[in-house]
Amino acid sequence: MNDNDRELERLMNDQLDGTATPEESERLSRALESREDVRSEYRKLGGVFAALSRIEMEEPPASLKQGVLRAIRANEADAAAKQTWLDSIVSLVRDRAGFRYAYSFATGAALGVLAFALLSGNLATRPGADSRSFTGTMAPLSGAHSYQHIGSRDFTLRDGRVHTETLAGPDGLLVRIVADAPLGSELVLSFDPADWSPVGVRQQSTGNEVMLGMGRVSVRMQRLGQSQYLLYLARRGPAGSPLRIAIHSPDGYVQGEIETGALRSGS
Amino acid sequence: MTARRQLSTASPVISVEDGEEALLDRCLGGDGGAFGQLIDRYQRVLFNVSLRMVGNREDALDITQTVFLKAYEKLGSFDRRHKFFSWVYRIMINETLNHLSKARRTEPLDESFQSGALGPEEECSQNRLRESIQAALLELSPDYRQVIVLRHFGQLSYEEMSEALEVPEKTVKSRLHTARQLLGGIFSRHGIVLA
Repeated sequence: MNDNDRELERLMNDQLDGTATPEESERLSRALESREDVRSEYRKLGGVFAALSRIEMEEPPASLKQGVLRAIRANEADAAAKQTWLDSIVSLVRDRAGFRYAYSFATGAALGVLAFALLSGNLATRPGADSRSFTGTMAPLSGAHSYQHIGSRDFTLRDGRVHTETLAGPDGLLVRIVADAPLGSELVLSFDPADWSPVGVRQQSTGNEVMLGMGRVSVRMQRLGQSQYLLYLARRGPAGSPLRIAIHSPDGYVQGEIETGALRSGS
Repeated sequence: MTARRQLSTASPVISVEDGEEALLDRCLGGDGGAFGQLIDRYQRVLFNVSLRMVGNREDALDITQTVFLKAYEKLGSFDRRHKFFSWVYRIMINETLNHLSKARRTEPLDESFQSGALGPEEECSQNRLRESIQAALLELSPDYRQVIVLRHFGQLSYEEMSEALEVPEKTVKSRLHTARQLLGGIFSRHGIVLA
């Protein structure tokens, strides 16, 4: 196909699309009058337009709109419940002495179960690599003291956002991650296993793949909407090295550090 | 985090004359009726675009609902300098392509269509012809199918398609021309009368 043919093809499309200028229409008319091959191509192209115009618009099901509005209300109720859940945990640990003792007991029991699982080989972990799918609840670190807010940071994606917040305890760190990222995104929180030891992770809405390893925790987004995670890290050394977060999403790649400031200073 | 909007009940008075900007403002203010109005405005065209892309109503319904949900959830991050419907179309295209790549659609065309062995009565049937045209459309690769669908069923201009597909207008036109040519070839191969 030479430049002239390409130009004629453009003219034919524009003419049938209704976007040709009067001059272009005139030029096409002249070509149609003088060339049989152009007439044949134009008829064929016109047939495509005619065929497509025979497919009529269909009415969407009546349930479409109601389904969307119902799902929005359900998501919002879910989000409100999640927020209430987090607030209640933080306030329980912070304000009530009775719960502090209960948490101490529960933490001891949970750590005992974890130690048994590790010793018996039922929970295999490999440094720096995902181990296995892990979802559920474990008690936070020694609950005899309050968790104090350290800092928070937002990571903005083109089509989503990830919010992180760190809370310091005497023996470790509570990391809260609220993710609203496109399907297929992967969040990887990595840390130095010499400084931090993962105790447990809680996923507040099921459906995403959560992997807990010795040096990292990863979440792969497999469901639509906002998800929240609580990660408990035990402090192994006197210093608290920073946590790093990397977000791989269909929109791009974002990374950064999450503050563990109070622990770094040894307080 | 994105501020959550609580979906309230519909406003007592919803004007059908509301402009899009006003509707968006009302949505961001938590007016559920306003988002319902946006659904009313776009559901038909979005559903049809999706239907022509995937070829069945059930999947098209799922996709369209997901698109509206995502649009609602991301409304706070929508850049108001762009056109709302171009933005929604872009979500729709991504959703549809995700669906197609997951489904790896391999549904064969029905036998009579493939062989071209239609009876004279069937050939005259408009419904049959429409089904054949839809089946031919599904033979196009998603990239070519989407430009045909956006232009012929979504009635988008080149500029709007360029914005929705995030490619230059020149690319849109060239892709559209090729898609029409390919479609013409598929029609001829299957004996669809073009007139």
